[in-house]
Amino acid sequence: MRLRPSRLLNSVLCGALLSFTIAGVSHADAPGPTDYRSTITSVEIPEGSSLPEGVGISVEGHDAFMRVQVREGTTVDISGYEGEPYLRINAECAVFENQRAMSTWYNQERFGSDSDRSLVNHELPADWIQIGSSCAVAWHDHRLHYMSPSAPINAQPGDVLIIDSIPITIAGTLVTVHVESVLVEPPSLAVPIIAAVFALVISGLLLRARLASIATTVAAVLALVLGGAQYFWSAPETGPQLTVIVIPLLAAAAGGWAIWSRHTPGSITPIGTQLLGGVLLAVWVWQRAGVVSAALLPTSLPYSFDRAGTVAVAVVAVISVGHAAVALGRLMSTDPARPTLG
Amino acid sequence: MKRSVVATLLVAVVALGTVAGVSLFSREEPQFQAISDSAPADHEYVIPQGTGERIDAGEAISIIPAELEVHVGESIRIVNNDDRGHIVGVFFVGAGETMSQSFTSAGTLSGGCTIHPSGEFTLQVLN
Repeated sequence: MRLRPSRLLNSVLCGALLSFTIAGVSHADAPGPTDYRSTITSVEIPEGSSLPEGVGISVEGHDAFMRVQVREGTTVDISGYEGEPYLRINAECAVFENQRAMSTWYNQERFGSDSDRSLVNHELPADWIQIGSSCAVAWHDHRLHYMSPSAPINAQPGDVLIIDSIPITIAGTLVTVHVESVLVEPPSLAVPIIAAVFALVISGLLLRARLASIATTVAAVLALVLGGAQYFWSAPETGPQLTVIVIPLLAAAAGGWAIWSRHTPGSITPIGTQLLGGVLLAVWVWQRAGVVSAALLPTSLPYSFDRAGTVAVAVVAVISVGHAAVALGRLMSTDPARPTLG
Repeated sequence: MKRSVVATLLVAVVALGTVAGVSLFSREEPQFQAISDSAPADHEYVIPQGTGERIDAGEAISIIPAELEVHVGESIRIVNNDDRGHIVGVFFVGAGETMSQSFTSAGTLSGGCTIHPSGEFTLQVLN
Protein backbone atom coordinates (compact mmCIF):
# COMPACT_ATOMS: atom_id res chain seq x y z
CA MET A 1 0.00 0.00 0.00
CA ARG A 2 1.44 3.34 -1.06
CA LEU A 3 0.45 6.08 1.29
CA ARG A 4 1.76 9.57 0.85
CA PRO A 5 3.27 11.12 3.96
CA SER A 6 0.97 14.13 3.66
CA ARG A 7 -2.05 11.83 3.71
CA LEU A 8 -0.54 9.93 6.59
CA LEU A 9 -0.16 13.15 8.55
CA ASN A 10 -3.74 14.12 7.77
CA SER A 11 -4.98 10.71 8.90
CA VAL A 12 -3.09 10.86 12.16
CA LEU A 13 -4.23 14.38 12.92
CA CYS A 14 -7.83 13.41 12.11
CA GLY A 15 -7.54 10.41 14.40
CA ALA A 16 -6.18 12.57 17.20
CA LEU A 17 -8.86 15.19 16.67
CA LEU A 18 -11.55 12.51 16.69
CA SER A 19 -10.30 11.03 19.94
CA PHE A 20 -10.12 14.48 21.57
CA THR A 21 -13.67 15.12 20.38
CA ILE A 22 -14.95 11.81 21.73
CA ALA A 23 -13.23 12.51 25.05
CA GLY A 24 -14.79 15.95 25.19
CA VAL A 25 -18.39 15.17 24.38
CA SER A 26 -18.80 12.09 26.52
CA HIS A 27 -20.61 12.35 29.87
CA ALA A 28 -20.08 15.78 31.34
CA ASP A 29 -18.47 14.77 34.58
CA ALA A 30 -18.08 11.10 35.43
CA PRO A 31 -16.29 10.10 38.65
CA GLY A 32 -12.63 11.01 38.52
CA PRO A 33 -9.62 11.10 40.80
CA THR A 34 -10.10 13.15 43.95
CA ASP A 35 -8.41 14.11 47.22
CA TYR A 36 -11.60 14.02 49.29
CA ARG A 37 -13.49 11.10 50.80
CA SER A 38 -17.15 11.75 51.56
CA THR A 39 -19.18 9.42 53.71
CA ILE A 40 -22.68 9.14 55.07
CA THR A 41 -22.40 9.55 58.83
CA SER A 42 -26.05 8.80 59.60
CA VAL A 43 -29.49 8.57 58.04
CA GLU A 44 -32.23 10.21 60.07
CA ILE A 45 -35.89 9.37 59.67
CA PRO A 46 -38.83 10.78 61.69
CA GLU A 47 -39.67 8.92 64.87
CA GLY A 48 -42.22 6.22 64.26
CA SER A 49 -41.44 6.04 60.53
CA SER A 50 -39.57 3.35 58.66
CA LEU A 51 -38.16 3.02 55.19
CA PRO A 52 -39.45 0.46 52.68
CA GLU A 53 -37.37 -2.64 51.89
CA GLY A 54 -34.63 -2.27 49.31
CA VAL A 55 -33.73 1.38 49.84
CA GLY A 56 -30.05 2.08 49.20
CA ILE A 57 -28.39 5.44 49.78
CA SER A 58 -24.69 5.75 48.99
CA VAL A 59 -21.85 8.03 48.00
CA GLU A 60 -20.39 7.15 44.59
CA GLY A 61 -17.04 8.16 43.15
CA HIS A 62 -15.50 8.75 46.61
CA ASP A 63 -17.11 12.20 46.87
CA ALA A 64 -18.63 12.92 43.49
CA PHE A 65 -22.20 11.61 43.59
CA MET A 66 -25.04 10.92 45.97
CA ARG A 67 -26.99 7.89 44.77
CA VAL A 68 -30.39 6.57 45.76
CA GLN A 69 -31.82 3.22 44.73
CA VAL A 70 -35.25 1.84 45.56
CA ARG A 71 -37.43 -1.08 44.55
CA GLU A 72 -40.35 -0.89 42.17
CA GLY A 73 -43.35 0.64 43.92
CA THR A 74 -41.31 3.06 46.06
CA THR A 75 -41.25 6.72 45.06
CA VAL A 76 -38.42 9.18 45.61
CA ASP A 77 -38.51 12.98 45.52
CA ILE A 78 -35.34 15.02 45.74
CA SER A 79 -35.43 18.77 46.19
CA GLY A 80 -32.82 21.17 44.85
CA TYR A 81 -30.75 23.66 46.81
CA GLU A 82 -33.54 26.23 46.73
CA GLY A 83 -36.24 23.72 47.66
CA GLU A 84 -37.38 23.36 44.06
CA PRO A 85 -38.49 19.96 42.68
CA TYR A 86 -35.30 18.48 41.19
CA LEU A 87 -35.33 14.69 40.75
CA ARG A 88 -38.05 12.10 41.02
CA ILE A 89 -38.41 8.32 40.80
CA ASN A 90 -41.97 7.12 40.28
CA ALA A 91 -43.48 3.81 41.37
CA GLU A 92 -42.69 2.27 37.98
CA CYS A 93 -38.94 2.96 38.39
CA ALA A 94 -38.86 5.79 35.86
CA VAL A 95 -36.44 8.59 36.80
CA PHE A 96 -37.27 12.21 35.98
CA GLU A 97 -35.36 15.49 36.13
CA ASN A 98 -36.93 18.94 36.32
CA GLN A 99 -35.53 21.07 33.50
CA ARG A 100 -36.66 24.22 35.30
CA ALA A 101 -34.67 23.48 38.46
CA MET A 102 -31.52 25.50 39.10
CA SER A 103 -29.95 22.36 40.58
CA THR A 104 -30.37 20.49 37.28
CA TRP A 105 -27.88 22.81 35.61
CA TYR A 106 -25.62 23.58 38.55
CA ASN A 107 -25.16 19.86 39.25
CA GLN A 108 -24.02 18.95 35.76
CA GLU A 109 -20.39 19.07 36.84
CA ARG A 110 -18.51 17.99 39.96
CA PHE A 111 -17.27 21.50 40.69
CA GLY A 112 -20.48 23.25 39.63
CA SER A 113 -21.54 24.16 36.13
CA ASP A 114 -21.83 27.55 34.46
CA SER A 115 -23.99 26.14 31.68
CA ASP A 116 -26.91 28.09 30.24
CA ARG A 117 -29.65 28.42 32.83
CA SER A 118 -32.20 30.20 30.68
CA LEU A 119 -34.71 27.40 31.32
CA VAL A 120 -34.55 27.83 35.09
CA ASN A 121 -37.82 29.04 36.54
CA HIS A 122 -39.03 28.00 39.96
CA GLU A 123 -42.29 29.89 39.60
CA LEU A 124 -43.60 27.64 36.84
CA PRO A 125 -44.65 24.00 37.36
CA ALA A 126 -41.81 21.48 37.03
CA ASP A 127 -40.87 20.42 33.51
CA TRP A 128 -40.04 16.75 33.96
CA ILE A 129 -38.07 14.75 31.41
CA GLN A 130 -37.28 11.10 31.86
CA ILE A 131 -33.55 10.37 32.31
CA GLY A 132 -33.64 6.75 33.42
CA SER A 133 -35.72 3.71 34.20
CA SER A 134 -33.64 1.70 36.67
CA CYS A 135 -35.17 2.79 39.99
CA ALA A 136 -31.86 4.52 40.77
CA VAL A 137 -30.49 8.01 40.36
CA ALA A 138 -27.15 9.67 41.07
CA TRP A 139 -26.38 13.36 41.11
CA HIS A 140 -23.53 15.75 41.93
CA ASP A 141 -24.80 17.03 45.26
CA HIS A 142 -22.50 19.89 46.19
CA ARG A 143 -23.31 19.57 49.88
CA LEU A 144 -21.34 16.36 49.67
CA HIS A 145 -17.95 17.65 48.57
CA TYR A 146 -15.52 20.54 48.67
CA MET A 147 -15.98 22.61 45.56
CA SER A 148 -12.43 23.11 44.37
CA PRO A 149 -9.82 20.76 42.94
CA SER A 150 -7.24 22.52 45.13
CA ALA A 151 -7.41 21.79 48.82
CA PRO A 152 -8.32 24.78 50.97
CA ILE A 153 -5.47 26.76 52.44
CA ASN A 154 -4.56 25.61 55.93
CA ALA A 155 -6.32 22.24 55.60
CA GLN A 156 -4.44 19.12 56.64
CA PRO A 157 -5.07 15.49 55.68
CA GLY A 158 -7.71 14.13 58.01
CA ASP A 159 -9.49 17.45 58.43
CA VAL A 160 -13.27 17.22 58.10
CA LEU A 161 -13.96 19.92 55.52
CA ILE A 162 -17.68 19.43 55.07
CA ILE A 163 -20.43 18.56 57.52
CA ASP A 164 -23.84 18.85 55.96
CA SER A 165 -27.15 17.10 55.42
CA ILE A 166 -29.20 16.23 52.35
CA PRO A 167 -32.97 15.85 52.53
CA ILE A 168 -34.58 13.12 50.41
CA THR A 169 -38.22 12.09 50.45
CA ILE A 170 -38.64 8.34 50.10
CA ALA A 171 -42.16 6.87 49.92
CA GLY A 172 -43.46 10.11 51.41
CA THR A 173 -41.07 10.03 54.37
CA LEU A 174 -38.54 12.83 54.74
CA VAL A 175 -35.11 11.26 55.17
CA THR A 176 -32.16 13.39 56.27
CA VAL A 177 -28.83 12.04 55.09
CA HIS A 178 -25.96 13.42 57.15
CA VAL A 179 -22.65 13.55 55.31
CA GLU A 180 -19.10 14.64 55.87
CA SER A 181 -16.07 15.00 53.63
CA VAL A 182 -12.46 14.51 54.69
CA LEU A 183 -9.23 15.62 53.03
CA VAL A 184 -7.10 12.56 52.29
CA GLU A 185 -3.31 12.25 52.46
CA PRO A 186 -1.72 12.71 49.00
CA PRO A 187 0.04 9.68 47.52
CA SER A 188 3.77 9.15 47.28
CA LEU A 189 5.21 9.87 43.85
CA ALA A 190 7.84 7.15 44.26
CA VAL A 191 5.80 4.47 42.49
CA PRO A 192 5.02 6.60 39.39
CA ILE A 193 8.67 7.68 39.15
CA ILE A 194 9.88 4.08 39.35
CA ALA A 195 7.29 3.09 36.76
CA ALA A 196 8.46 5.87 34.44
CA VAL A 197 12.08 4.75 34.68
CA PHE A 198 11.09 1.12 34.17
CA ALA A 199 8.96 1.98 31.13
CA LEU A 200 11.77 4.10 29.73
CA VAL A 201 14.28 1.25 30.03
CA ILE A 202 11.96 -1.37 28.54
CA SER A 203 10.92 0.94 25.71
CA GLY A 204 14.58 1.73 25.01
CA LEU A 205 15.41 -1.96 24.76
CA LEU A 206 12.49 -2.53 22.42
CA LEU A 207 13.55 0.45 20.32
CA ARG A 208 17.06 -0.96 19.97
CA ALA A 209 15.57 -4.25 18.88
CA ARG A 210 13.39 -2.35 16.35
CA LEU A 211 10.28 -3.44 18.21
CA ALA A 212 8.79 -0.06 19.11
CA SER A 213 5.37 -1.05 17.82
CA ILE A 214 5.31 -3.89 20.34
CA ALA A 215 5.83 -1.37 23.15
CA THR A 216 2.92 0.67 21.77
CA THR A 217 0.67 -2.38 21.65
CA VAL A 218 1.58 -3.60 25.12
CA ALA A 219 0.99 -0.11 26.53
CA ALA A 220 -2.38 0.01 24.78
CA VAL A 221 -3.38 -3.32 26.33
CA LEU A 222 -2.28 -2.03 29.75
CA ALA A 223 -4.34 1.11 29.17
CA LEU A 224 -7.29 -1.06 28.23
CA VAL A 225 -7.02 -2.97 31.52
CA LEU A 226 -6.80 0.26 33.53
CA GLY A 227 -9.63 1.85 31.55
CA GLY A 228 -11.82 -1.20 32.00
CA ALA A 229 -11.26 -1.19 35.75
CA GLN A 230 -12.26 2.48 35.81
CA TYR A 231 -15.32 2.08 33.61
CA PHE A 232 -16.83 -0.87 35.45
CA TRP A 233 -16.02 0.55 38.90
CA SER A 234 -18.52 3.37 38.50
CA ALA A 235 -22.27 2.96 39.00
CA PRO A 236 -24.06 3.24 35.64
CA GLU A 237 -26.07 6.27 36.84
CA THR A 238 -22.84 8.24 37.27
CA GLY A 239 -22.16 8.10 33.53
CA PRO A 240 -18.74 6.42 33.34
CA GLN A 241 -16.80 7.42 30.22
CA LEU A 242 -16.60 4.76 27.54
CA THR A 243 -13.62 6.59 26.05
CA VAL A 244 -11.32 5.17 28.73
CA ILE A 245 -11.87 1.83 27.00
CA VAL A 246 -12.46 2.81 23.38
CA ILE A 247 -9.31 4.92 22.98
CA PRO A 248 -6.87 2.23 24.14
CA LEU A 249 -8.80 -0.31 22.07
CA LEU A 250 -8.14 1.80 18.97
CA ALA A 251 -4.53 2.28 20.05
CA ALA A 252 -4.11 -1.48 20.45
CA ALA A 253 -5.55 -2.01 16.98
CA ALA A 254 -3.17 0.59 15.55
CA GLY A 255 -0.23 -1.00 17.36
CA GLY A 256 -1.22 -4.45 16.17
CA TRP A 257 -1.45 -3.19 12.63
CA ALA A 258 2.01 -1.64 13.00
CA ILE A 259 3.41 -5.00 14.14
CA TRP A 260 1.67 -6.86 11.34
CA SER A 261 2.91 -4.51 8.63
CA ARG A 262 6.40 -3.79 9.93
CA HIS A 263 8.14 -6.24 7.59
CA THR A 264 6.36 -5.02 4.46
CA PRO A 265 9.12 -3.57 2.29
CA GLY A 266 8.70 0.09 1.42
CA SER A 267 5.50 0.49 3.35
CA ILE A 268 4.75 3.64 5.27
CA THR A 269 1.89 1.92 7.13
CA PRO A 270 3.89 0.89 10.21
CA ILE A 271 5.00 4.49 10.74
CA GLY A 272 1.49 5.84 10.44
CA THR A 273 -0.15 3.23 12.63
CA GLN A 274 2.49 3.54 15.33
CA LEU A 275 2.13 7.31 15.23
CA LEU A 276 -1.64 7.01 15.51
CA GLY A 277 -1.32 4.50 18.37
CA GLY A 278 1.03 6.83 20.22
CA VAL A 279 -1.22 9.84 19.74
CA LEU A 280 -4.26 7.88 20.95
CA LEU A 281 -2.38 6.76 24.04
CA ALA A 282 -1.34 10.36 24.68
CA VAL A 283 -5.00 11.42 24.52
CA TRP A 284 -5.93 8.63 26.94
CA VAL A 285 -3.21 9.73 29.37
CA TRP A 286 -4.31 13.35 29.05
CA GLN A 287 -7.82 12.25 29.97
CA ARG A 288 -6.59 10.47 33.11
CA ALA A 289 -3.65 12.66 34.11
CA GLY A 290 -5.15 13.36 37.55
CA VAL A 291 -4.60 9.80 38.74
CA VAL A 292 -0.89 10.40 39.32
CA SER A 293 -1.28 12.93 42.10
CA ALA A 294 -4.79 12.35 43.47
CA ALA A 295 -5.29 10.41 46.68
CA LEU A 296 -8.36 8.42 45.61
CA LEU A 297 -8.83 6.96 42.15
CA PRO A 298 -11.87 5.78 40.21
CA THR A 299 -10.83 2.16 39.89
CA SER A 300 -11.23 -1.27 41.40
CA LEU A 301 -7.50 -1.90 40.98
CA PRO A 302 -4.84 -1.02 43.57
CA TYR A 303 -4.13 2.68 43.27
CA SER A 304 -0.37 2.19 42.97
CA PHE A 305 -0.88 -0.13 40.02
CA ASP A 306 -3.16 2.40 38.32
CA ARG A 307 -0.70 5.26 38.85
CA ALA A 308 2.31 3.22 37.74
CA GLY A 309 0.46 1.89 34.70
CA THR A 310 -0.74 5.31 33.63
CA VAL A 311 2.76 6.78 33.88
CA ALA A 312 4.18 3.84 31.93
CA VAL A 313 1.60 4.36 29.19
CA ALA A 314 2.50 8.07 29.10
CA VAL A 315 6.18 7.26 28.62
CA VAL A 316 5.46 4.78 25.84
CA ALA A 317 3.08 7.25 24.16
CA VAL A 318 5.76 9.93 24.02
CA ILE A 319 8.36 7.46 22.76
CA SER A 320 5.97 6.05 20.14
CA VAL A 321 5.12 9.47 18.77
CA GLY A 322 8.73 10.65 18.87
CA HIS A 323 10.06 7.50 17.25
CA ALA A 324 7.45 7.56 14.51
CA ALA A 325 8.11 11.26 13.88
CA VAL A 326 11.85 10.61 13.52
CA ALA A 327 11.18 7.68 11.18
CA LEU A 328 8.90 9.90 9.15
CA GLY A 329 11.62 12.53 8.95
CA ARG A 330 14.12 9.95 7.74
CA LEU A 331 11.62 8.73 5.21
CA MET A 332 11.22 12.18 3.75
CA SER A 333 14.93 12.83 3.59
CA THR A 334 15.88 9.47 2.08
CA ASP A 335 12.84 8.61 -0.03
CA PRO A 336 12.49 6.37 -2.01
CA ALA A 337 14.67 4.18 0.21
CA ARG A 338 12.10 4.08 2.95
CA PRO A 339 13.18 2.91 6.36
CA THR A 340 11.31 0.17 8.09
CA LEU A 341 9.94 0.73 11.50
CA GLY A 342 10.21 -1.65 14.39
CA MET B 1 6.86 16.07 1.13
CA LYS B 2 8.77 17.60 3.02
CA ARG B 3 10.50 18.30 6.17
CA SER B 4 7.81 20.81 6.91
CA VAL B 5 5.61 17.89 7.92
CA VAL B 6 8.08 16.91 10.60
CA ALA B 7 8.27 20.51 11.66
CA THR B 8 4.48 20.58 11.80
CA LEU B 9 4.40 17.49 13.99
CA LEU B 10 7.00 18.87 16.31
CA VAL B 11 5.24 22.21 16.52
CA ALA B 12 1.97 20.39 17.28
CA VAL B 13 3.60 18.42 20.09
CA VAL B 14 5.24 21.54 21.53
CA ALA B 15 1.96 23.45 21.21
CA LEU B 16 0.02 20.72 23.01
CA GLY B 17 2.60 20.68 25.76
CA THR B 18 2.51 24.44 26.04
CA VAL B 19 -1.28 24.53 26.22
CA ALA B 20 -1.25 21.85 28.92
CA GLY B 21 1.44 23.68 30.85
CA VAL B 22 -0.26 27.04 30.60
CA SER B 23 -3.61 25.65 31.67
CA LEU B 24 -1.99 24.00 34.65
CA PHE B 25 0.25 26.74 35.89
CA SER B 26 -1.11 30.09 34.78
CA ARG B 27 -3.96 30.65 37.17
CA GLU B 28 -4.54 34.21 38.23
CA GLU B 29 -4.95 33.33 41.85
CA PRO B 30 -3.69 35.33 44.77
CA GLN B 31 -0.85 33.88 46.80
CA PHE B 32 -0.71 33.72 50.56
CA GLN B 33 1.87 33.44 53.27
CA ALA B 34 1.27 32.24 56.80
CA ILE B 35 2.02 34.78 59.51
CA SER B 36 2.23 34.47 63.26
CA ASP B 37 -1.06 34.26 65.10
CA SER B 38 0.21 36.96 67.46
CA ALA B 39 1.02 39.44 64.67
CA PRO B 40 -1.56 42.17 64.04
CA ALA B 41 -4.04 41.40 61.23
CA ASP B 42 -5.96 43.85 59.02
CA HIS B 43 -9.08 41.69 58.81
CA GLU B 44 -10.02 39.52 61.78
CA TYR B 45 -13.08 37.33 62.21
CA VAL B 46 -14.09 35.10 65.10
CA ILE B 47 -16.28 32.03 64.73
CA PRO B 48 -18.01 31.54 68.10
CA GLN B 49 -18.51 28.23 69.80
CA GLY B 50 -21.78 26.58 68.81
CA THR B 51 -21.76 27.96 65.26
CA GLY B 52 -21.92 24.48 63.75
CA GLU B 53 -24.94 23.57 65.85
CA ARG B 54 -26.67 26.79 64.81
CA ILE B 55 -26.02 25.90 61.15
CA ASP B 56 -27.44 22.41 61.74
CA ALA B 57 -30.53 24.00 63.22
CA GLY B 58 -31.04 25.93 60.00
CA GLU B 59 -29.91 29.30 61.27
CA ALA B 60 -28.30 31.67 58.74
CA ILE B 61 -24.85 32.56 60.02
CA SER B 62 -23.26 35.86 59.00
CA ILE B 63 -19.79 36.28 60.42
CA ILE B 64 -17.87 37.31 57.33
CA PRO B 65 -18.98 39.38 54.31
CA ALA B 66 -19.85 37.51 51.11
CA GLU B 67 -17.22 39.56 49.29
CA LEU B 68 -14.04 40.88 50.80
CA GLU B 69 -11.72 43.29 49.01
CA VAL B 70 -8.19 43.51 50.35
CA HIS B 71 -4.77 44.65 49.16
CA VAL B 72 -1.45 42.92 48.72
CA GLY B 73 0.48 43.20 51.98
CA GLU B 74 -2.63 43.08 54.16
CA SER B 75 -3.51 40.08 56.26
CA ILE B 76 -6.51 38.09 57.45
CA ARG B 77 -7.04 36.16 60.65
CA ILE B 78 -9.90 33.76 61.37
CA VAL B 79 -10.24 32.48 64.91
CA ASN B 80 -12.40 29.38 65.15
CA ASN B 81 -13.74 28.83 68.66
CA ASP B 82 -16.24 26.26 67.40
CA ASP B 83 -15.93 22.53 67.90
CA ARG B 84 -15.89 21.83 64.17
CA GLY B 85 -13.85 23.09 61.24
CA HIS B 86 -15.20 25.76 58.91
CA ILE B 87 -14.61 26.55 55.26
CA VAL B 88 -14.24 30.24 54.45
CA GLY B 89 -13.77 30.47 50.70
CA VAL B 90 -10.33 29.07 50.02
CA PHE B 91 -9.43 28.85 53.69
CA PHE B 92 -10.06 26.08 56.17
CA VAL B 93 -9.93 26.72 59.89
CA GLY B 94 -9.99 23.62 62.05
CA ALA B 95 -11.90 23.33 65.32
CA GLY B 96 -10.28 25.50 67.98
CA GLU B 97 -7.64 26.73 65.57
CA THR B 98 -6.56 30.14 64.33
CA MET B 99 -5.53 30.84 60.75
CA SER B 100 -3.44 33.88 59.90
CA GLN B 101 -2.36 34.63 56.34
CA SER B 102 -1.00 37.65 54.49
CA PHE B 103 -1.70 38.33 50.82
CA THR B 104 1.42 38.36 48.67
CA SER B 105 -0.07 38.76 45.18
CA ALA B 106 -3.25 40.01 43.52
CA GLY B 107 -6.14 37.92 42.21
CA THR B 108 -9.62 36.67 42.94
CA LEU B 109 -10.76 33.46 44.57
CA SER B 110 -14.23 32.18 45.33
CA GLY B 111 -15.36 29.24 47.33
CA GLY B 112 -17.93 27.81 49.67
CA CYS B 113 -18.44 29.39 53.05
CA THR B 114 -20.17 27.98 56.08
CA ILE B 115 -20.29 31.29 57.96
CA HIS B 116 -22.23 33.44 55.49
CA PRO B 117 -25.92 32.96 54.57
CA SER B 118 -25.13 32.80 50.83
CA GLY B 119 -22.82 29.85 51.42
CA GLU B 120 -20.15 31.51 49.28
CA PHE B 121 -17.20 33.79 49.87
CA THR B 122 -15.26 35.76 47.27
CA LEU B 123 -11.89 37.21 48.08
CA GLN B 124 -10.44 39.89 45.83
CA VAL B 125 -6.83 40.85 46.42
CA LEU B 126 -5.84 44.14 44.76
CA ASN B 127 -2.38 45.59 44.20
